[in-house]
Amino acid sequence: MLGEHTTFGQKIAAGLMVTAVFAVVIGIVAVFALRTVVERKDRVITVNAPLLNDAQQLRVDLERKGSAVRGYLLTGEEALLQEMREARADFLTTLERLRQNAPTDDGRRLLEDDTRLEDELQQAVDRVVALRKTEPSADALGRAFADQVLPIRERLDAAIRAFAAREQKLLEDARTASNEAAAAAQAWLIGLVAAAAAFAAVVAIFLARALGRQIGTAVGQVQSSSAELQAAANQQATGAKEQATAMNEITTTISELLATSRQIAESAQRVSQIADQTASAARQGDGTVAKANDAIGSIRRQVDLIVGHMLDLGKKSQQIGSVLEIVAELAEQTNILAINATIEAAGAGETGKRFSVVADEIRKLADRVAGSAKEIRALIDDVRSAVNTTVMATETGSKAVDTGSKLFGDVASALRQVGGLVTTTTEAGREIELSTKQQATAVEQVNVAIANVAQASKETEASSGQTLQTASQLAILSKDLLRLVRSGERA
Amino acid sequence: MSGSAAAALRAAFDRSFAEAPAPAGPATEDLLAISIEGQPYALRLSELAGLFADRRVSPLPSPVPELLGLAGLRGRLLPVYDLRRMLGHSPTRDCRWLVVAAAAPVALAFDELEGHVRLAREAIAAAPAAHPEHLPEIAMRPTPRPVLRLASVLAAIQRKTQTLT
Repeated sequence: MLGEHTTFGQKIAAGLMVTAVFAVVIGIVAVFALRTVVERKDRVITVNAPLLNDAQQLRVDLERKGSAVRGYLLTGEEALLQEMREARADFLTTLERLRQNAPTDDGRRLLEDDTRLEDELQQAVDRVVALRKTEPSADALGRAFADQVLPIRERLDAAIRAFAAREQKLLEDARTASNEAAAAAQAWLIGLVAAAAAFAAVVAIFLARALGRQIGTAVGQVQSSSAELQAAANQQATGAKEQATAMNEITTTISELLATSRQIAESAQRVSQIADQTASAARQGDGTVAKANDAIGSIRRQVDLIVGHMLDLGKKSQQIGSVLEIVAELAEQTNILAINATIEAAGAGETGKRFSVVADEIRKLADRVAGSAKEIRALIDDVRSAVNTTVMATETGSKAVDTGSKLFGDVASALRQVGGLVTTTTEAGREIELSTKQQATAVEQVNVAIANVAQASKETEASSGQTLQTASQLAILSKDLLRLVRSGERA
Repeated sequence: MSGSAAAALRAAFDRSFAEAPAPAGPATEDLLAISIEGQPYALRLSELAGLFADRRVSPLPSPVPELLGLAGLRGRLLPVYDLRRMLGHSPTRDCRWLVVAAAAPVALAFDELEGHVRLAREAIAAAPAAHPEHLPEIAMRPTPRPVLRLASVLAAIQRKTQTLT
């Protein structure tokens, strides 16, 4: 059935289709009724009316035959007998046609009676005609005619009238049935037309209401969409303006980027040149490092010699210390002797004074020797400390030389790596130069494209204005349409 | 030692014998500078009969803790007393030096000998009243140094030995 999701066109098509079905039914009923009426009328015209006419023709032929018989009886002319025979032949022909066309058994039975009576009549006529030839008297013929022919003729006439009356009744019945069929068809047609009109009215009301509701809803949505379209157009216009401004800024930035790219290309070219020079220097540095490594090997040998000499010096210092301990011991013993001599000299009185002088000198000498021994001890300690420090420093230096030698190896390896890297750098610099030039070209193309985009943004801005105007017109149009659609509802 | 220093030493030594004896000056005092447990002391040479180093001291069982033992010095067997204990110190190491008193056959042991010092008499002053026992004077040069009175020490030793007997 027709639901909410049925389109308006489908509803109209369905209504028109039902209406068309009604029209077809009405047409079929009309055709059927017309054919029925025509058939009934045709039957009246082609069956009942000819039968009635033939019945009347039987009476005419019977009257012609009677008139010819009476004329012959009066005149005796043979032409009248011929006329009588022709009239009888016509009568029999008509009677035979009636027998063939009679639709009912009753009719055919009446016609059988007519045939039998006509035979009797003809026999009576034949007898009267024969009498005329023998008896010319008019009275006798008149009596014979009245006695023998007229009764049969009246009965035959009555039978023919009965048949005609019956046929007249059948014709009336057929006409009445035809009229009734026509009236019934007319009633059907009026009913169907009324039903079709009522359905069309219902469909019209339904479609009008559905149209109003659906179009009203659609127009409401169109109004909402128009408002959204206006807002979107405003946003688009604002965005287009901002985009145009941004495009101008981007153009400026791209120009700066272009200049920067050119500077980068120049710098990359200089980097390539410097990298070439660096690679040459790295190769020279590699050779220098190899020489320095040899020199370090020589230094290492010298350091080993220094270490050996220093160790010898330490041993000698130790030996000097041993000797010095003896000297110090001697000085101490001398000092003790001098002090004891001083003590003894003091105990010797005046004679010990000169000895005391000698003892003092010996003691001073011993003191000086002891002081010198201390100084020498200190110096030797310093020498030994210096020797130890020197040995340690030399060993540290030896280790440093080893480390330096290893580092020089690393430096040589690093320099070789630097050479390789510088070569790579040179290639990279050239690639950067080439890429930067390509980038500059691309940036120029981008600049052109940005200009095109800026132009497109301006066009978009103009288009947004047009869209805004169109949206406004659409909103106005939807309001008008809504007013048109809902005017009936408001009324 | 440089050669010039040796030459100066030699010259001074020779000059001391070449020059005439110096005229008598102010009165002097010969002191033996020693060190006991790091503290400076001085002994008068006039109170000593001899100085010895690294002499063997044979321990001698005694109720006197200050008596270290006996030592043979110049043909005499002398008792050796610990000067450190006599001065109230607690010894922490062995004694290397011995001095023999002139007034009694007693040897005293101490830690370290600093040397012979000759001072003018006026350089030796009396110690304050509250000064410890056996140290009545102080030698003022080159640094203040208590001067031991050996007779007082010997008297103390004698009192200890007499108490035992």
